[in-house]
Amino acid sequence: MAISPAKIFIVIPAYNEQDNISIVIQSLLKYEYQVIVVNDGSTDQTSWQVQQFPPVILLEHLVNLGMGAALATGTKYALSQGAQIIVHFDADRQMRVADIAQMILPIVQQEVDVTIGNRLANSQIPVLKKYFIFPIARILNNLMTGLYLVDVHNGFRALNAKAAQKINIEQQGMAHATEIVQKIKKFNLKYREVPVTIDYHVFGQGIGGGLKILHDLFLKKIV
Amino acid sequence: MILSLIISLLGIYSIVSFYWKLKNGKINRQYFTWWLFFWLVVIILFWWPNISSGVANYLGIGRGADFVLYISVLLLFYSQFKLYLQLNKLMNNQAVIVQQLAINQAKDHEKSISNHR
Repeated sequence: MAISPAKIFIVIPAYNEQDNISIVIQSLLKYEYQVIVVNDGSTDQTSWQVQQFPPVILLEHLVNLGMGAALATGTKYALSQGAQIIVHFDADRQMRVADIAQMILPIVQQEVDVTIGNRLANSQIPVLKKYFIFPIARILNNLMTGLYLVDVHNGFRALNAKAAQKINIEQQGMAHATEIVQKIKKFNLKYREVPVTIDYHVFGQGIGGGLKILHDLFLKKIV
Repeated sequence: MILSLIISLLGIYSIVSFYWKLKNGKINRQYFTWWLFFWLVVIILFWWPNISSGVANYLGIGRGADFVLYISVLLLFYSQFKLYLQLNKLMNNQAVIVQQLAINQAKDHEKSISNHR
């Protein structure tokens, strides 16, 4: 199946990313993808930076809602514009634009509905994460979602339109990553993990972030 | 005796103020009934503390004061949980509004660009 790059939308949630967002956009605009930045209530110059690139679609959250909500907004807008593939991409320069081609390939070839990045093969991962946080997260993810993923909380993912329509992201915060996996299982979507490289500039989510995710998932169960 | 009087005055003040809120339509009847019941129980227990001891003995708790404490803690937990749910609902509603505004704004922007072409 041939998919025009104009139907491939890259959704980037951004919160106070004035130092990174221009670099990310510049590297994305070398390709012909449609780029959507969701400015999630940033208090810095993120919005102004994005406006310097007219081809980029800017969606503005008036207040900070969280990464999951920003991805939901961007995904919904992309679908309304006829997106056939939607890629979730970070604004902090940790993901490599060159990996997008590998991420969308199994979808273009109609082998799967969703691809999820797997950073364990190629990336220099902080030791605490690799040997302590990830193994625990893997077990918890397996218990909560019923799917076994090597890299359970990778924000680099690509979805075809069918999957994006079915997976309505309700978790506003970081728990969206687990919610998406839960819904891949729920809707019986075909998925594959694709090796990607993550360049760590900061540590990212630690144990506290993991506990917050568990709390959000538990709350969703009882509300 | 003095504490019972203070609590009674506080209770009566609360009941009257809730009654006026009910009259002005600021709260519903269910909410008023709940607070009326709450303050009446508090006033009765302060004037006749033996009642709580009787109930406590019946439930096998021991002292009346312990019974009141347990019930208070349970009520506090419950009200905290209710508040939590309401806050969660408000946050979800807020998210829906913020997200839809962002999408509408972008669509309007796209429309104005295509009109200028």
